[in-house]
Amino acid sequence: MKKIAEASQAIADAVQLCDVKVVPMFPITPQTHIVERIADKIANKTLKAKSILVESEHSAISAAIGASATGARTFTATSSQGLALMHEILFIASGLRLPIVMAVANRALSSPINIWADHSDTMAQRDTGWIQLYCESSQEAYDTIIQAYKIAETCSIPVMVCIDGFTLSHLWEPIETIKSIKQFLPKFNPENKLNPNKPITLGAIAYPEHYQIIKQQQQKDILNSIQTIKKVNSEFKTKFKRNYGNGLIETYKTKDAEIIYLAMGTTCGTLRVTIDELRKNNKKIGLIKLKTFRPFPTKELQKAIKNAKIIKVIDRAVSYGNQGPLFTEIKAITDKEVHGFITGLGGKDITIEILKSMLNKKGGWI
Amino acid sequence: MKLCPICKSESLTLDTGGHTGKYFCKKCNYRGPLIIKMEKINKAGIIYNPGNSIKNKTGSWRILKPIVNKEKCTGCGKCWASCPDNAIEIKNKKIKINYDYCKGCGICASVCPLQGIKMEKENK
Repeated sequence: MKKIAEASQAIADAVQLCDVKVVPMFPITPQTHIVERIADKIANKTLKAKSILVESEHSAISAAIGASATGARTFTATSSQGLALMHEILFIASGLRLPIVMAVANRALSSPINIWADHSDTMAQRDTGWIQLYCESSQEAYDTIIQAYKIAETCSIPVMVCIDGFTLSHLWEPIETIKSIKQFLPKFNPENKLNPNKPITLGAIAYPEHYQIIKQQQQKDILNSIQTIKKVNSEFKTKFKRNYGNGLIETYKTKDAEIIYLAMGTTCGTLRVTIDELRKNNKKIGLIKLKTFRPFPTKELQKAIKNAKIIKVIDRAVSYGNQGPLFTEIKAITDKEVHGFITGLGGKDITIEILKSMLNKKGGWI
Repeated sequence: MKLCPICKSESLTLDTGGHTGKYFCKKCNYRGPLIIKMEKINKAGIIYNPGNSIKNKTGSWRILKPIVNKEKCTGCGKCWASCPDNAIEIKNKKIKINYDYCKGCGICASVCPLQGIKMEKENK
């Protein structure tokens, strides 16, 4: 069925479809629409779930951990300062290997206070052990939530689904909904859960000789999740006839491209139009959309940029004292010429003209 | 005794202050951590047999040891109520300290109304 929805609404619909059982919620712009819609669904009894109204994001993620540990499929959503407040608990969620799915409406961090889109909030949480998936459209947000549960529950790793605040979270566009995902996403029945009849201890102290090994297992599993993400993407394609590249990256006209733009999120939409315009003037330009930022798809990226001469990386975040976080990571995997651009901070428009002007520059702030 | 990662003999014992994860080989004098295989550790450090912390005898951390003067002790239970490690039992109106778990904090000695507990240096 087709319907008109903003990404927030699409995510709420996907949560309903996934039969989520617990949703701890706390409002923050521009994420509020997501939990608002879910609260509506719970009140209307179209979604049989427990909503927990908490006093802060720190509590929201803590409640999500508690719920997920008992074996309930759990969802929460946040943004910007809220995600920053969750910081210490994000490590606990990934360390306990709880398959929580969280939508993040990307928004700039204070100060100065700003409510518009950039990636500095999720980039600051890249080392928390969560899988990070970035979306370009409402349809992709809808599909990614469904895929995220499958990935999270297969690998026992929590997943962040990142949508650009306002530019995507409040964007109304047509989406194709799915009737039933029962075959794709079976009931959540984890191996380890808190059960009074069969008690286990979660999150006990680990001495030095054990801690590093547990973290090594975690790293091994998140690196292996690359294969799971690919598999889930292709399974989704055969069932629902939609896919996003190979689930890790999506390429657009890169086959003969000499210059490749590399970006995440909604910027890719504008880039597609820009590339089409530039191609009319016989310029060989392509685009790589990085959908999965963590785990970082090194091999897939190296293969995709194999024939390019120059890679133009667009960052919507800064690692203060160094460069854009995406730029430094791309630079680390290739010896090709890489130009890093920082733009679109705090909702600054990234227009076709700005993207075109990058062709004549070797990096910097635009 | 555990397997030494260097000389492969079963002569590895906990070093003094065993909670730091340091081991000592009596044969080759190796000092350092145990080598544990990744597969042997439960994912996320989950413990499937709760209550197994009883195996960790924290008495080895002790520097001062409480010695009870049995003549003074009336079994009033003040130390029993104050012990943070539940390492004190009362039997026949006398207290008994469980040195497997007493960490030697000295709270019992300081709360005893009759000064019946003395802290003495541990001989190790």
